[in-house]
Amino acid sequence: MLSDEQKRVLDLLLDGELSDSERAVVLEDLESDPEAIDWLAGRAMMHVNLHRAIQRRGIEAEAKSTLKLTKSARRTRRTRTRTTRPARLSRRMGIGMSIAATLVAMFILFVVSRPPADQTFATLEQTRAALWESGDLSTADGSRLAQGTLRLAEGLATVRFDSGAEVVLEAPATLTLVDAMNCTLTRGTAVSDIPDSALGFRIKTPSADVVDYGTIFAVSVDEGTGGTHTQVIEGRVQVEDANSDEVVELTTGQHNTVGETFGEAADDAGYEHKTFAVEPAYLEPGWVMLEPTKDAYTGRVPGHNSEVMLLVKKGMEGGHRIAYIGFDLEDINQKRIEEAELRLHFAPTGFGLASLVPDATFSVYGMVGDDADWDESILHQRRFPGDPKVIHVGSFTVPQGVQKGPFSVRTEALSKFLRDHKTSQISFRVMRDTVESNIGGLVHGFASRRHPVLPPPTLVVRTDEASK
Amino acid sequence: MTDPSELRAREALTRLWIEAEPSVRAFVFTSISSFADAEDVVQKTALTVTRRFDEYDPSRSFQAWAIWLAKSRVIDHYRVSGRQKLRMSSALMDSLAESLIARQAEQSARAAALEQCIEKLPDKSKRLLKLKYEEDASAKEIAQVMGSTAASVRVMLHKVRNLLADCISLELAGENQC
Repeated sequence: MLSDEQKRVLDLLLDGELSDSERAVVLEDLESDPEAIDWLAGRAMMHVNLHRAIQRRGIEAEAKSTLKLTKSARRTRRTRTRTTRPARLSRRMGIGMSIAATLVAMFILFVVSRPPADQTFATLEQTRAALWESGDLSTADGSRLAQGTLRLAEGLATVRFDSGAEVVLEAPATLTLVDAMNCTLTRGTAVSDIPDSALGFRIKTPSADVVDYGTIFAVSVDEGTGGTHTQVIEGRVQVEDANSDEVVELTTGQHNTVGETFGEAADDAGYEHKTFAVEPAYLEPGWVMLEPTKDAYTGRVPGHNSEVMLLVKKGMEGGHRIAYIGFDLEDINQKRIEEAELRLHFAPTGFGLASLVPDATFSVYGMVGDDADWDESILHQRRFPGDPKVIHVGSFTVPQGVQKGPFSVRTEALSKFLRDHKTSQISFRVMRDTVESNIGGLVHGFASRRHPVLPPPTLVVRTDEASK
Repeated sequence: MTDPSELRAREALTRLWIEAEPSVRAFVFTSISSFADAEDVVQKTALTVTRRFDEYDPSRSFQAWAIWLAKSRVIDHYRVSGRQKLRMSSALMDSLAESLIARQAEQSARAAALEQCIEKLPDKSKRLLKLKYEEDASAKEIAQVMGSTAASVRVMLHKVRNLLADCISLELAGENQC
């Protein structure tokens, strides 16, 4: 049972009447005294209720007094200027008035932060050397933005939310706008500058929630793993693990990474932010990169050819181009392949109109049987020789208007095809499934193994052993 | 025109906040000694609750969620002010929150009983409470007004609260002898 002296000291704690040293001692004693904590909780509730009750009485008394005064003034037809009343009221704007003020502020904020889906709450303020992939928002400078997704392939783009938060996207990046205080980053890097008006601005990623408390900070997301790297340039943020209750707070100069594990805050002078953009996961130990031994495309059209690109098209009235790529897996233990990815680097071909081809789906097929025995001379033929048997191993989509950048297939079907193939000679067929919407549509293309600058088609595989 | 679902969400937020606000306020005022600072933190908590309301899981206690957000704001306050040594530990704040949450059910009854009990206090005690809770005066300031000493005022306040606490218990038990 608590002594009256203990209770008196806890009252002083609630009244703010303890010195710093006394307060520290009391808090330390409280740690191991659940009964005292419970008593303190009850007393704190009484304090709050007392504040309300006494202030309400004061306001009621004031109202009565004002009413009397007004009546008196009317009777005597005298005009009085009262200068003390507002001052007293403002002093008195403690709990009672502030509750009302808080509710009003909450309503205003509620409306600001939760606009209907068809209303805008941000502006695409500035872009630099920006190249966009398909998204459902306008990408013209100055566009007003509602809920939707921005996909930046190259360059920088600045989004200013109506809350005051400014987010600079660094390509390649994918940002989904939720409302004036929330967005989701699933790929790439966002550098945010958050003023006081946007305190609590939140960037969600697949692995973390990054909440800002007035600062400049950078967040990068690894598209493959969802891993999140956060660095505070100035100020403070809170990083919450999306899959557990773990939270870490980062201050100026600190950084952490959330991935398979939840990283601690690290201090590192001169630290260079890790954006995940330059080191693909497959270069980690266990992955092997293979370049093609041969590649070609069929369906040549006089005057519309390329010696360094593999052209791909599905026309309304013919003019199809289909690409073929061969790899030799002799140095790989095919049966032990666990993951595989075929990566193609697209570039403009200079043929056809992009506006006549919607978002284009491409399918990749593995060629089964002995059809791997072909050579690049098919480049000069309209059709691949014979009627090869194929198996679908994956698809990808190139958004309308996008003509460059890496696109890839990484599926279990691809891994299985490689494991099950009877020889080390592997061939793929790459076709566009999407037909042009009118004659004269874009001819897509990706770099062949003869391209002088761009990466060739690349097969990357991971086995449960590095190599034979 | 306001979207019906937004209107419902706004109504739900208002109702939940009004119910939880005394506990949130008690939590913050216990954790932060300065009245003005505590009031500021309560406001920030309210705004955080509003901004993050779509994250609230209705199957769980709103009061507990709001206090959890308040805890972060309290920690922020001490960090920004550079007075972290005077902050309650995280475990202590959690224990305090638990006790406050457990009191939620009887909160409105206690508040109503308190109103009755204040009426029964002598005028001198009412004046003391008025100075303390309406004018937010310190013990020293009250002492100057009442012609007493700060130490006496602290003792008087403690006794008046004890009287009120006893009275509330009796009111709730239906045996008001106060």
